[in-house]
Amino acid sequence: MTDAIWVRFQKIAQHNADKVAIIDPASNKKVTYKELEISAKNFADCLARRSEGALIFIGEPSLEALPILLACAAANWCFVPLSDREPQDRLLRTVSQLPGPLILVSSGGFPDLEIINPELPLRKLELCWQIITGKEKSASELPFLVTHSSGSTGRPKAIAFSQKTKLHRTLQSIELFSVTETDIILSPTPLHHSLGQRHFFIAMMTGATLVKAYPFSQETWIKAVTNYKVTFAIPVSTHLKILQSTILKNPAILKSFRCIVTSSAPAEPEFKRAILDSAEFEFWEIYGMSETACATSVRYEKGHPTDSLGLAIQGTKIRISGDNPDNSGEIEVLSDCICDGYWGDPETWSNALTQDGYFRSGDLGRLDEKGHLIYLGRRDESFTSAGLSVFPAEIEGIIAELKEIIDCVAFGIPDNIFGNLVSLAFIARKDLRDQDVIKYARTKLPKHMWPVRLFRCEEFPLLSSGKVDRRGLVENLIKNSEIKS
Amino acid sequence: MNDQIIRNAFISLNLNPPSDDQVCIYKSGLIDSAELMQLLLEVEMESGKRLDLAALMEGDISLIRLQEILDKF
Repeated sequence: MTDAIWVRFQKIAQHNADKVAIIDPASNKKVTYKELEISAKNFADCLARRSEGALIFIGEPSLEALPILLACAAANWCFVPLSDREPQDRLLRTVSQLPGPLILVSSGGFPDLEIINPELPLRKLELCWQIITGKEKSASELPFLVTHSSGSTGRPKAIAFSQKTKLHRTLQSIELFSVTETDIILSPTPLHHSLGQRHFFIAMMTGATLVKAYPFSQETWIKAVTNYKVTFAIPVSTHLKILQSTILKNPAILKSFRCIVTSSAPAEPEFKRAILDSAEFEFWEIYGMSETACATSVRYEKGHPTDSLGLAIQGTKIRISGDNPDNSGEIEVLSDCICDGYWGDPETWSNALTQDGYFRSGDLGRLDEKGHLIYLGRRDESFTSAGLSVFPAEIEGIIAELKEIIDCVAFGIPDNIFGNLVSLAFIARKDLRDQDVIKYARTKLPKHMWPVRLFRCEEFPLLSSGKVDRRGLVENLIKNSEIKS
Repeated sequence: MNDQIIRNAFISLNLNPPSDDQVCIYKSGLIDSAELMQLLLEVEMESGKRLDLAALMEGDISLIRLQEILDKF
């Protein structure tokens, strides 16, 4: 049986029939577990009568459309959520790389694709249903869920999960953070992002209530937390940074929380200390990626160091590759929660693994003497300047210690003489001068990491996941820079 | 004024300017490459001008040359 998610959901739904399963704070609409199950079953019946086997959902599903993800679990279909914030030609390129035939669902429709009339319950969703022809697949070839990695790390990869794998990963999170049916879980992250999926499944696999507050804004986040007395959230660190000054001014905003877990990109130690001091709740940080789920975790305690990402969690091993003298290298992860490969791209998947099955994360780090992971940034973000390695995360961590800094990104600008000029883009309060930033950097960073180019910004571009669009930011700054290399 | 900007840049880095304003401050070993880049950054921040580093590095970086470049803005 591959319907592990659906079987567990049905049990949860029967046990919590009249309980609110999902809330849409924008409309204050709510759906109970019973309603969700009925809706998912109706959709599943429609899907089961069709032969395509895979459904691409472009854009964020409404409350009425969300059950379709569970319907795919019930009908043993494959669900592929994609962002609608990408240009159509790029989206179609991504879609064309997936093995067909597929049904494509979107709000506006796509040119050159045949429009179909689905059965009544599906048609009621008032979405545009289209079909993409392709080579027939057997049901055994279909994953349950395909998550595309974010554009922040290069070409998006179609990360595949079976129901069994997805359930195993969900249970890992549930156990790690002691999530129960009494929790109110906030999700300001889109469903096409693995974190958005994690929120959804943690709620659905425990009987908790999911508050689907997407898209993120400071106002909607705070309103959702206070109105629905949210107890659990896994925000990306960018969201926390945006919220930081408001939270620090009024820590009572967080009083309903039992547990907050920050993820996606490690938060700066100073910021974590400030959050810890501001309220009473469990404050965790996890390191992982869509392919491996959580690899390490740490529960921070007041007065204790906050600069590591903790130890490998149960069922996971981490190691650092290479023989750099400073013990830094690529983080490699062996996990029993590993995904089921890249859909339609076994070669890339094979290259992503070492011979003994460790996943090459593309992140740089080192382990301290106790085995705690210290994150040094993305491998493809690190660069050399004057022949020495520069780790942007190390610079960003130091600069973020300045309380007037709201966010910062370090990067290299190609230079004929030095290889790269160490550069820093930052958002800061007006009372912080550029001179203050650079003076602080000189007192805290090794010489070869001193920024030589500063870019004061009003805001950073964000990906729909809430992460900073580093690639877009850096490209734009380099393009607009007057520097001639 | 530009002379003062350059001298202030040295002060910010706790470095002494050379007594000979024609000597290359990098090749003479007075400062290393990291300090040189910081010196130029200080000059930029103080003057509000962005230097063409690539062109600058093509020749000797003396106080007199730096001043000439700033004077040309």
